Amino acid sequence: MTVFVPDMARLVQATADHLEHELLPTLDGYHRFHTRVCVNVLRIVQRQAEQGAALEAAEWARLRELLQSTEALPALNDALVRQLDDGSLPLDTPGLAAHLHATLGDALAINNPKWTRQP
Amino acid sequence: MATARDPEAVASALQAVLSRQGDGVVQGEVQGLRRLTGGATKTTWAFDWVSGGATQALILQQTPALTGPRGRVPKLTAAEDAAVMRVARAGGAPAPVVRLVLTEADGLGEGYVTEAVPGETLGKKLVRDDAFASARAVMAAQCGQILAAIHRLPLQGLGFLQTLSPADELAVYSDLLAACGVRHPALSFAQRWVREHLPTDWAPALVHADFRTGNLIVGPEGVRCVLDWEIARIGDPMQDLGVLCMRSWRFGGAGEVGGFGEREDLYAAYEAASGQPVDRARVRFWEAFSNLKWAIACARRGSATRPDGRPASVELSAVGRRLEEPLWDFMQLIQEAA
Repeated sequence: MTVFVPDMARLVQATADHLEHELLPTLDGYHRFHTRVCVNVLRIVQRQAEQGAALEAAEWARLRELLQSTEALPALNDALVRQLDDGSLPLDTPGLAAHLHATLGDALAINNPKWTRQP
Repeated sequence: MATARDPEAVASALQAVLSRQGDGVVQGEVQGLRRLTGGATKTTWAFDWVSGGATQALILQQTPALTGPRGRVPKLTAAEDAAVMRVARAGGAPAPVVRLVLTEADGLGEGYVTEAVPGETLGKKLVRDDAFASARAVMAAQCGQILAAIHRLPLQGLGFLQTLSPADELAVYSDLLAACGVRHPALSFAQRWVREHLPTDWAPALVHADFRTGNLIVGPEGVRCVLDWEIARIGDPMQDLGVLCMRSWRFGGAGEVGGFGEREDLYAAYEAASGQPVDRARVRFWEAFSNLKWAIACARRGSATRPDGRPASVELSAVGRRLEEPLWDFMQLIQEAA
């Protein structure tokens, strides 16, 4: 694997830090709002670069167990959607709701870590 | 006719429109026109109308003309929206007072002028600031009374409103999801769950459908005005109570009603004002379903593109990454219900 220095997470972090600490204090109104959005987006990218692979591995392991299949993650997710849409997988299938809940919680750890903690 | 969008053109067009009202001899001046933030699809302006020595604070709402087929998604035209607000106001619900509905000849596009209502709309302030502690103490009960008033409004003259049964609602929003092409196991699960739990015993009423913190103007004494009537429909009134309780619209506040109040205060006030029992389980159903609808809205925004194929604005793209928030809440709600 090619060694990138800095790695993706650090590179994005440096960019987000610059926008947040150097550029944002000089802005107001429209540009302040949208630059704040850009900073938040880069923080998401940073967390996905740091945690994404581990969370996907956990999701894949749960899905292999749930669907009793060893296919790749995208194919298993596709099969899960199909079986939910066509009604062939009962909603009370053991482990189904827990898998979805866990996968959503992991995605929130990337997209908005506060969501699973606040009231 | 070209639609005025820049401040000078808007001010002069507004002045002409307002001067034409009534007997045609009303003279006055538009002063202090300023664009307000908020509303990705609408343009909202505040201004003062100075006439006959009196100054009145007014609001201009410009809505983009609907393009393409309206489909089955209930989205009212400006004239329909204004008609609903007039009926609501007459029936005791605190909708904005409509001064006039724009016509094509006015050169301002579709829209209307309403009387301005002073107060706060920002959720974060309403659920936290000391200035609104007194409002928070009474708002859940006030919302119950206002919703009861909305749900008993007469429907005469509102024949344009769509009637959406719970099953219709699911079909409409599932079609929207299919159209944007997003496939996600939790979205499929939530649609199946809603389909398997559709209420069958419901009595149709006028439903606001977006009655929540953020769409309420609030003062220290509580709710002063209910905004954003443009997706009103005829449906199950318990939907409005469910939307108001969604965690997405609590802005970090602890109260399960809009971040400011308690469920039992909302329910008790609604029952006292309407004479109808609140079906707690059906409110929870609509709270879950409303989370699915918000998730579908996130999926649509997150997958939106510009005409040249690039992603839509960073603001819209970022909303796509909020997809899991309502879906997480959906899973929590159905576990509590089980």
